[in-house]
Amino acid sequence: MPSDRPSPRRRDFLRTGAALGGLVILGSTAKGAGKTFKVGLIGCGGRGSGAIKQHLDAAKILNDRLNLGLNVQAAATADWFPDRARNTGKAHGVPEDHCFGGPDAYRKLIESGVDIVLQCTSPNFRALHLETAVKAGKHVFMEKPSAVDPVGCRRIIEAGKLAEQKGLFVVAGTQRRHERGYIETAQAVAKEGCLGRLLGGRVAWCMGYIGWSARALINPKTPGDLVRTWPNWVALCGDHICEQHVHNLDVANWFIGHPPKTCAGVGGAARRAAGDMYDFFSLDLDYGDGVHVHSMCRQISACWDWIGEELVYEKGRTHCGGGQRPKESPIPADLPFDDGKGHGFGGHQQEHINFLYALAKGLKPINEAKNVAEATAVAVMGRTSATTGQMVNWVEMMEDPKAKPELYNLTCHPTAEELESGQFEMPKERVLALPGVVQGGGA
Amino acid sequence: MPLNRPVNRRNFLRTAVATGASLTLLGATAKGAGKAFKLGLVGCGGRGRGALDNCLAAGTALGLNLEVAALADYFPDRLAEANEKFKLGADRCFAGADGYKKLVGTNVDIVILASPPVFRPIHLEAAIDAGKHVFAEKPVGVDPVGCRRVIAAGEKAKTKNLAIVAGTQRRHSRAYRVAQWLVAQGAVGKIATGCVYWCGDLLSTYERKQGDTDPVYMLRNWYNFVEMSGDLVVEQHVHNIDIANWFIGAPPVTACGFGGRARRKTGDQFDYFSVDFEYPGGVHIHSLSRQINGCWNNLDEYFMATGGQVRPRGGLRGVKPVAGTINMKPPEFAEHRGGPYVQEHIDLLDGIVKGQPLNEAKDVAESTLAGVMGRISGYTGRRIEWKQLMDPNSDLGKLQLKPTAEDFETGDFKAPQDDVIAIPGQA
Repeated sequence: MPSDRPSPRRRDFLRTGAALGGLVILGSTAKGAGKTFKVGLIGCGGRGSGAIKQHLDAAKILNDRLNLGLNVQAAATADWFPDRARNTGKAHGVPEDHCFGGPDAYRKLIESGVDIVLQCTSPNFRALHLETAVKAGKHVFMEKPSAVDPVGCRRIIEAGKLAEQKGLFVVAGTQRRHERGYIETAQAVAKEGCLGRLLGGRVAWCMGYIGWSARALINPKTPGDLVRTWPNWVALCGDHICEQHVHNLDVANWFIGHPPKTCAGVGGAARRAAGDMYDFFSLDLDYGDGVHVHSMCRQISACWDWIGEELVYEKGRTHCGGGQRPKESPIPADLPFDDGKGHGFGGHQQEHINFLYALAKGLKPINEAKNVAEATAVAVMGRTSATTGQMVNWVEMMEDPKAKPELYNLTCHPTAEELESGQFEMPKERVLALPGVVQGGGA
Repeated sequence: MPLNRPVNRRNFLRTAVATGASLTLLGATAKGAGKAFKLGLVGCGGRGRGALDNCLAAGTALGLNLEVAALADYFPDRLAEANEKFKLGADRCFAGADGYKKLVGTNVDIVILASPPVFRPIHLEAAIDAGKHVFAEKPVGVDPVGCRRVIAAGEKAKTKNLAIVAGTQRRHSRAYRVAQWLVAQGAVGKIATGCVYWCGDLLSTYERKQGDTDPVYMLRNWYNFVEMSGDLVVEQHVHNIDIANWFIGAPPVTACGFGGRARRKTGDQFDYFSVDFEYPGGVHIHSLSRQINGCWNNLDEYFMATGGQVRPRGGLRGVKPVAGTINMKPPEFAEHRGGPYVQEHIDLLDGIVKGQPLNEAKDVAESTLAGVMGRISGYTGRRIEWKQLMDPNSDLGKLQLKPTAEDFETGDFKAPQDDVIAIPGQA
């Protein structure tokens, strides 16, 4: 990670810049006319603080390596909690009157004259924030996942279409799509077909206890209590299958070329102490043509752990992040992937480099809204199949409003709008959805 | 194979009956015609009585003279109920936990073992020691110790030329045999991945009555106790896992599983599992099993091979055989009109008559143990290795659930607590 190991070259550059006083900065500003971007961050938690740093670092890296003359300035911050907005803003020299707090802070930020919006709140807010940003003509980087329910996923897809019409960037935090190993392997395997026909595979995000899972009952009383403890609530994070496993599901969709037709699976909450989520899922994704992918995710310590993807083809298997070389790489030759000494930047940094590289060079805007919305929707399929015990069909959930309206219109409450208004019923803690209860019955 | 296609056989039998023609036309089997065998049944529940009926139908089909000669069950009432049909004397009906011992001490030739799975290893050992041929219902154990005992009993049966046919009846279904034969010929290349499913409803639940002793309660409610059934991933899903083992040609090497209990009301079992089984060569099979009413149900097996798709009960798809290199014409596998449930007994009896007894002990023990491996993985959240289970000196290899079958003979044990289930990992 560049944030952990800053590239020596970048440090050299900064030192040189400082030594030469205004010259370098003047030069780059003059050269970069039209390449000045004011960036605003919505969601100043750990990921947001990381993202804005990585975004600003990306501009420095590109200027240093390619002399792109980017001038990216942290111009505004927003968070439900005003102190978080202020603290993160302060770290990046944002004037205090551009640090917005409260449920509608996102709107104030979008209206504050920024060019790029980084959306790093919990995923339940993403659709509303993306719609608002795109309507206002902003480029967007948005963290994954992009929603918590089918309605939210479709709103993301629609906002993505609008962004396309307006020539706006929508870059997503499914960072594997920005890593060299994944891009080249996808090219070699999925595009060039070096392993032949796809037969099936497995994708997993199985890990131990994660620090943001509450150890004791949360007993939320206010909307803020929910927002602060968001990784414990289905309505805010979509359950951990959305929140984390979306990465691996996205890789499956990417390599296969489309989302699955159906999903049938199981899951439960073996060890979770608070909130209303499960702590494991295991699913059978049917991608059609006989291709099944076994999706597994877990947040329980002292179990078997594996985070990764393995797809099996006629002529062999791939772990998707490397191993097969393409005949022709789709990656621009000058796009920096490492510090020049073999240390890769890592996905969190790389996604911002790719974003600003394309933006600065005037390339076709990157628009990943559909990809990330579809990967999120697969996670929602999985969660829904496990919590109801039913097989969930993609067309019924995402495309045909009439087949199963209750599935198509599935909405997790409280929604972003309900949280903003404060008018909603508090979710019940440790009351879990159980399979076979909604449909059929007995047992 | 003992018989030709049922249409032919039915026609033949009709002809034979009509004309009184000699049974020599039945080919290999003919020399057994008229032979007499005495049957004994251990475990007179629904499956036991069903298996006995299936065996008798098989005897009829083969022109054998079968006689039900002894019955055993823990419960006298169940024994009496089963005996209504056969009217055996009291000296041939054995109640109690040691009834099986008395039954194998009689002059029966073939013993049908249909008690709850926890008893299978000791019942099988006793039957083989007594020189009896065996039909053993699946699964054949609930833990690694029991499964290894079954494998050992199978080896002993070979030395004594005794048959052990298992109730994994798909191995006696024509459709499955054709598909397996074609796969073994290489008709679809190599199996690369697949899924096996037993997603169905909850089986019966027995509510504890006042006065039930712990052994009685566990026996009456055996579908809900892992110590009795091995849990659903063993008790029912063994069928589908067995197909994966059979088609791939080996048991799995590891299991990484998930499982839990959402709706079950009594006992200590889970009610769903989802296991990633890894077979030799890195072939992964996803096993999905559930016993919850009102959910998506599916009983099936499916494999994706390098050269096509295999759905054993439905045939092969997308197969483009290379002309001249692979024999795509399978033998005419027989299947009785009563289906594989009767055919498995025909294959049992035919092997005995021919002096070439079938021995499926290892196959069914391995499929049972694979289910056990999936269960342990689901219970613990850990990756479990086959070699650990097969090693009698490893901690997992020593695993023997309590109460054991032997404990039922003393009756001296406490039932596990209802509703206390395994929880994987740590918080």
